[in-house]
Amino acid sequence: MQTKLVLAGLISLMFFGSCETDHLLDMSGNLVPKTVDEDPDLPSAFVNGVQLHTEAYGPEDGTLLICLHGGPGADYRYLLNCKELADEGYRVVFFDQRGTGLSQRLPEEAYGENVFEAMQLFYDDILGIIAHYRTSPEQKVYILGHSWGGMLGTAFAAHYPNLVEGLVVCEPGGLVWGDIVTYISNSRAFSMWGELMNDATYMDQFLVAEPDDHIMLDYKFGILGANNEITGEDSGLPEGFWRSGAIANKIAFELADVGKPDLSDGIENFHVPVLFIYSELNEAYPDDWAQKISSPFNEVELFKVPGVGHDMLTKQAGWLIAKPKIIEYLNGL
Amino acid sequence: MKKVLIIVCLLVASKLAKSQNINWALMNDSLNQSVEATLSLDYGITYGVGYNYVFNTIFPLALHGDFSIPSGENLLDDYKIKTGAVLRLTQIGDVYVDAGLMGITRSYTSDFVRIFNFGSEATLSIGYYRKQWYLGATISYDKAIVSNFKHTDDYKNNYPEVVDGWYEPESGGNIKFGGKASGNFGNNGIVLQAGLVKTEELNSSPLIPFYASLGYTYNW
Repeated sequence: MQTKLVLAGLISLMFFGSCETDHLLDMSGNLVPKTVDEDPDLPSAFVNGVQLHTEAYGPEDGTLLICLHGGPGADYRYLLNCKELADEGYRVVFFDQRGTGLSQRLPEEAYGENVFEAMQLFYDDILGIIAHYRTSPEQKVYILGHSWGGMLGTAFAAHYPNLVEGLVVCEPGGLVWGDIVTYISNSRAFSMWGELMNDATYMDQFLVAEPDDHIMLDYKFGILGANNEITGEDSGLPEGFWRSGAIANKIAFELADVGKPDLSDGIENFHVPVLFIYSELNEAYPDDWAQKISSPFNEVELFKVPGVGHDMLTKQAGWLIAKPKIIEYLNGL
Repeated sequence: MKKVLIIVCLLVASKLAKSQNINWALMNDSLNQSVEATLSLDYGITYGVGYNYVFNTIFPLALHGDFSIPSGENLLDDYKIKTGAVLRLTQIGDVYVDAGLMGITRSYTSDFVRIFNFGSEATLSIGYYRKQWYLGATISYDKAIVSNFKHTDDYKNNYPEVVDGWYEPESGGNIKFGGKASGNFGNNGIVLQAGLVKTEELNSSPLIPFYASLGYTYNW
């Protein structure tokens, strides 16, 4: 009887007992930073019904340069080198897209029912950001997008060809869904037996996240970072990210996989010259891939940044080469 | 202090524990130990070794311990140790019902963090056992009790305010539903297990939503 009581006590303790630990996993700020709706000190704007983390540099009446980060599900921190473009007189605008970075977290339903609704929400967010910073209707709008941000920037320019007067696209994986899938496949050395695989899956046994558990989902997504020898990028760069958006990433890929969008649809109506930047060390982005992906643009200049990979705007070695080219392009518009 | 208590309790529980891959019809006073080697899909490809010792008392009890690591370039950066016991609850003819309780110690390392976790796993199985083979069904609940996080400089360079230390999970654990089958050839045996993995609220799954295992056992 005594043994049974001890066993019962042990089982109760193991499963239901109050484990008074130092910290709680569901408390924002412990493992991942707080978002704008949790920390009023963060710069933000209410746009299209969502509170977005955003800031801008440069003269308020300068040409708006809207910087679009990658992912989906990354944030703009890795693009902050671009704020140096404010020294050239541009109003350089950054924002974390809905549901990622330090922007407000949203449920899956907040991304629309299909990829076309989702893309329209992304467009409306950009329009809202433009409206937030624009001081006059005459103020020009340029877009600079990296990776997924390059895809989004292209699609935005295709939808609003009369609004966008300059477009810098940096290494988008593809613009049509088939090319995006091919690029993702070529840029990841994914193996069921590899370290990347077990880094992604092994933690699931003790870091359990339900579908609305943004803190844990974002944390799990964020700690997957690893150097990628194929794309030549280093996810461990200091001040390279704030907080991943796991749901934003998941729902974007799920909707795109169903809807198979062509993000270049309508770009034939965009007649502004485009600067298309890619990197030398991204093995998944050889010259012929850059030419293929950039081919839908009416007028495009390709520029390859030597000595760096996909993070060509983040690493100083790449930025110091890309920056003068970007300035030359912007000033020439 | 409570963390220490939990750890001690888990270790004590492990001393009372027994194996989950026991052929109850085969084990007797002269054949009451086994070792096993497994290749599994269990939150990743894993390799494991284990040991079982069966006490043939009124309520037969098996002690169990196993050690497994996932595949990958860094073989020992992640691991799992399970120790515990399985109690044969009842027998009706060739049908046996058993329940197990395992203490789990596991470690996970990536470029950004090292996580050390203590957990527990409760298992309930029913099976039809013959000396040469058995078929069974299993349900188990794996709960992460407490985890210690230590982040690397790479993570702290991005989020200096990250709080290292012990954490209590806010949600439950994972539930596994599956079947198992085994065939014995002399002292040797092959065990197959497969099933589904769901989170506690049954509305989502891990990245790998199922498990499978192929094991070799040697009994003596």
